[in-house]
Amino acid sequence: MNRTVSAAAGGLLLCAAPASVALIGGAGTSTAAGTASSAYGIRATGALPIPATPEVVSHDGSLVTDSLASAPDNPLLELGLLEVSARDGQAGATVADLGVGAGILAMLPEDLATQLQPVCEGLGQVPLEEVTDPVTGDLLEGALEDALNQVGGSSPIDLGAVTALDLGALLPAELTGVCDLIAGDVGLAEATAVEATCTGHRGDTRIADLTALGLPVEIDTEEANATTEIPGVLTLTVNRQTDNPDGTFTVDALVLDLFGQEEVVVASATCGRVTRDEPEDPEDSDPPSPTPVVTDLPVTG
Amino acid sequence: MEGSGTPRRRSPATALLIAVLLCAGLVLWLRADVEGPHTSAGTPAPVDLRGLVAATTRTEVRAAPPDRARERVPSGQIVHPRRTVPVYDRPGNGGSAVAKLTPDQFGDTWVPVVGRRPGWVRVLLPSRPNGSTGWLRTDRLDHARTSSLVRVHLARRTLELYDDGSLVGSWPVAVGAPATPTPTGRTFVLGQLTDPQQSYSPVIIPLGTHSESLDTYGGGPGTVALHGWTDPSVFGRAVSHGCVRVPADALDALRNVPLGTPVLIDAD
Repeated sequence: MNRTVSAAAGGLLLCAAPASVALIGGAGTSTAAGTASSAYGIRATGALPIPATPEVVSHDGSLVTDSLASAPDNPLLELGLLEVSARDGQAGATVADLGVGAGILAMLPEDLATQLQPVCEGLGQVPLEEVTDPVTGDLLEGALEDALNQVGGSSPIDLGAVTALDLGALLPAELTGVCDLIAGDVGLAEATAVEATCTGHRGDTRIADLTALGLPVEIDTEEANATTEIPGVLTLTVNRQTDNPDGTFTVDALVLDLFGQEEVVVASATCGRVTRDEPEDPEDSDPPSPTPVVTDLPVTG
Repeated sequence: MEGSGTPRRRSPATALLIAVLLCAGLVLWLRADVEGPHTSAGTPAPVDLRGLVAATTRTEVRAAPPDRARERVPSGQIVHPRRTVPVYDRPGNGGSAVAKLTPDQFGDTWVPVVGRRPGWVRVLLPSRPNGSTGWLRTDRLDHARTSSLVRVHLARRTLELYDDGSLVGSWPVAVGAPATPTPTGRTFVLGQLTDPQQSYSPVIIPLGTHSESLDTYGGGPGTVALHGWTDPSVFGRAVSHGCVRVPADALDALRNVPLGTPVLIDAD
């Protein structure tokens, strides 16, 4: 059987894995005297752009702060209080009551929403044991091709975007989560608090009550660049740490990649140094004594 | 069953498929409704270090700038990345990340400094091609200084070990045969290892350079190394596949040389 989808929160939890390294590139504003520190609450790039909001930049190293009571009017996000601050070598951003994706459902074409509603209503009536593997609990594939064709004939959706997905790894609870999403009961992702702070080249992330499709996401925010995903639909990266070429350092508390086409950054802090005092010629220490490691690298002999 | 009023009953899998279709198409649909250019906000997209090749003895970094002073003795400064760091082709904001350097390879990774700019060091890399260098930011590095220097003279088939500029010892060694020559240039002590798969040397000291004539050797990447040899008759001859085979007392001395120590190989 050729399974085609892997998705949703079970996969989400399984996929949660810290990356071993930092990211490079990204933000950072230079000044002649050094590099500025900055922070913003929310920014989206892609199909539905939202500029960095609210954003502060400390060009001279003095403390600057800003806050916003709620998100700018948009169909992507719902937000509570946003607060940002930056000063020389320090920055922070906090976002309360994040909700991603719930609002966009209201923008669906009416015929699609109408079509989906009875499907999800009927979902609870179907004995799950008839459609799930008794051993693994995974959904069994059925007439997916037929359904694809039925839906595809009248849909404006680019079906090519989903044919590469692997549906097989979904659990029944995740399926319910998808329908809750359709019903507007949950968002693609939600959190009660998201915070990023940096000091010099150290970054910290705090996220409270993170969920995806209404299900808790267990991901270690102390690990840099930990990611989890619903393949093809949603990728979450927490504590994304970026070494920028200009020497600044950025920590993004939460980054959501929606369908590979929309990136949303929630709570971002960038630390620069206006008055550079980094040791250009650090004092050399004595080198450690070499200790052989056991390995089997064949050398040229 | 509820839902009898629907035109046709669908399985949960079908419902899921539709939901996924819905999600996947949503942004496409939204995009069609959004006017105006996409924002770039002047911020380049982050580049994931995970997409960069790690500069190791097993890899090649073609975009790494070449060593332009292959015969100059380095200062002795060596650096160790405390965590994986990007390797740039140039210092400053104009540089591009061409690789990454990991904190350990054969024990801790120490590489020699061969150039310096404020906030940056240029180092020799352990990856192919031979003589590769790269720029690292200094703030993620441990800094140390080695007083040792190893010189290998291929025509004379000798190895010299210096400490603080003073000759510690000179030994006859076996170097690469004419068909598999030991590559010239400056490289460094990449690590120390014991290999349970072989018995010709109690310790092997891989260098940051590779055979130019052998892409692979024995399943390895053609790494050139300093190591001992069981048959002393090879010393003073060009018989190896590229490695430098050294007498036991030379190996004893080389075992104390810090990782990252420069090794200069010349044709003399």
